[in-house]
Amino acid sequence: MMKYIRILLIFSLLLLSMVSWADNKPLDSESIQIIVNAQSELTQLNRKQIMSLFLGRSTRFPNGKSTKAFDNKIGSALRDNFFEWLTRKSISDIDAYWARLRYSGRVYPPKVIDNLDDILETVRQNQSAIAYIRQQDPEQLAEQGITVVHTLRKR
Amino acid sequence: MTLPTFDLFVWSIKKLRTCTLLAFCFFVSLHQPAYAENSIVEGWEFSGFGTLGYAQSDKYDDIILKRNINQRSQKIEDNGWLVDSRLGLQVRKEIHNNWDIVGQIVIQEKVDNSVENSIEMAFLRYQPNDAWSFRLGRMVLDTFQLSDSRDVGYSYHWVRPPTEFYGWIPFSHYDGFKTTYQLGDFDSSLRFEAFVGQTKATVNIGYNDGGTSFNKVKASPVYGGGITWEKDDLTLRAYISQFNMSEEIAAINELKAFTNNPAIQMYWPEAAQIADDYSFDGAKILYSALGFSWTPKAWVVQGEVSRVDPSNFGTYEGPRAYLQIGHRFGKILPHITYSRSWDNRDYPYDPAPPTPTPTLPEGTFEALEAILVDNRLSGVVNQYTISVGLRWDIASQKALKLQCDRTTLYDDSLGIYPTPMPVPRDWQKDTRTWCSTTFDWVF
Repeated sequence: MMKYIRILLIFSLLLLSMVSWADNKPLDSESIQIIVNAQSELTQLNRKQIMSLFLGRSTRFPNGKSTKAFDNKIGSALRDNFFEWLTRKSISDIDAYWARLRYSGRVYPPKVIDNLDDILETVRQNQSAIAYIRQQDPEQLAEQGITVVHTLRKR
Repeated sequence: MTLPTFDLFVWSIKKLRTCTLLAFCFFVSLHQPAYAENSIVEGWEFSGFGTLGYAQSDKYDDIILKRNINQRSQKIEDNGWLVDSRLGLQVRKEIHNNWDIVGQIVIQEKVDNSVENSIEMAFLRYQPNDAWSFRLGRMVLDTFQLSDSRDVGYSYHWVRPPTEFYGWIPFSHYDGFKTTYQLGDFDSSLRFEAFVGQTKATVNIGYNDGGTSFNKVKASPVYGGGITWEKDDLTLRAYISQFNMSEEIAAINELKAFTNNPAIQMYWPEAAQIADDYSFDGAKILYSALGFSWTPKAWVVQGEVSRVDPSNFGTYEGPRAYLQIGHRFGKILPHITYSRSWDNRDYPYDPAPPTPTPTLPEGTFEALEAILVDNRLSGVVNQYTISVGLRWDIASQKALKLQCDRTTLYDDSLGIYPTPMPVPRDWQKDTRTWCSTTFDWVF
């Protein structure tokens, strides 16, 4: 009986210690845009193609050009929403998926960029870049040499 | 003098570790001038994973819960928090466009917890294009579906992968060479893998601490290959590998020293033959496995079947299987698993003759026979477990898990969970229930 009490006690302590880490972010109602450099010559990508590129299954655009995906901050609402809307799976399942690939040495997840300005700059400077951002004015993005190839919305 | 082809092959494998170190130094030295304006430490990616857990390893007096046979039985019995707790640190650096190096060290309870044996990965990788990848160095073994990530608790939903399937595997990494060829499109992908190398591990089969209860196992060469097909939520995987054991273990050496006694050989020559049949040195063990993972919507369904075919007697043998079904409800994922390992082998040798007294002390043959018969039990995993568990993703990249395992161990099934019973151990079919909890995270 003491063993059960001990195991429950440890479990409860772990829970209490983690409460402050719990994120209560509400789901975003905005759209999320998937963007590439205008010189990639892409005008649109479908959901399956985007999923392959952001889950490390493909490293080339449909036109054959090499690509490199960039991610947003781990734990951010934008990242959670992006992967959940894209894959229809929990962000925890996506993180578990990446944990398996990364720590078996097989594939590394997309490099994380913390803020919007740096993401836009990276896509502007890099013809092979693909990233995602909160909804912006497509015309303003086009003026910066950035093309919106897909818009994700909450289902 | 010409070396036989196989010996040459083995010799080449043994040289691989040296080659890896040299290659590593070569590329680091190449890297320095290319980034002369930066620090040598710049550009490294640091990440890691951890598990803090507690398991009821000492709940019963007659049998102890273990995660795997690399753990020290008595240490685990006394410290339930050591069963699943571990910390992994990983580094990676892109040296050049197509080259990178990866290193990983995992700190956890095991017989040989030296730094050298705790390094799970230290390899150099060359990817000339999207299809091909070549690795040289130390890599995690991926003989079975989860064996390359079984230390990464966050990556699966159990507290630990099914013990019937994964608990008996002594090896976690190998030093060698691996190549991967991948093809596919946005719809599906096909990956072929082949590896060759050498590996070693130290195991504690049985309850006793130290001495001949700690056994070093070595295999050289080890080689194998597999194929993985992925499409949407479905992954299918087939793998086959062969381990050529290249060194005798301490317990068998001790047994052979006894059976080679001239007096024993004169009156019971079969005893030496039985000890030889148990021998690891020169044995070949074939592992084959088929696995799948299917994750439609919020469901998780995964399973695997495998076979172990050794050329020697008394080590792990036979089929294994598990099936897990789970469903995610937001941050909570309850799951249930059935895992089974079959081994119905009998002791196939004739009974010992009466001890020739007074040449040998009374009871000598009876005692030796008891040891020979008992030795078989260390390789028997004839049991099944029904596990019920809960994963709660409490925050980003952090999960709490609770799991209870109800295991039925058939007669003689002492290959993973040890018993403090003295030889001859006499385990009769019985059922045990253990509960465990872990906190898993990645960073």
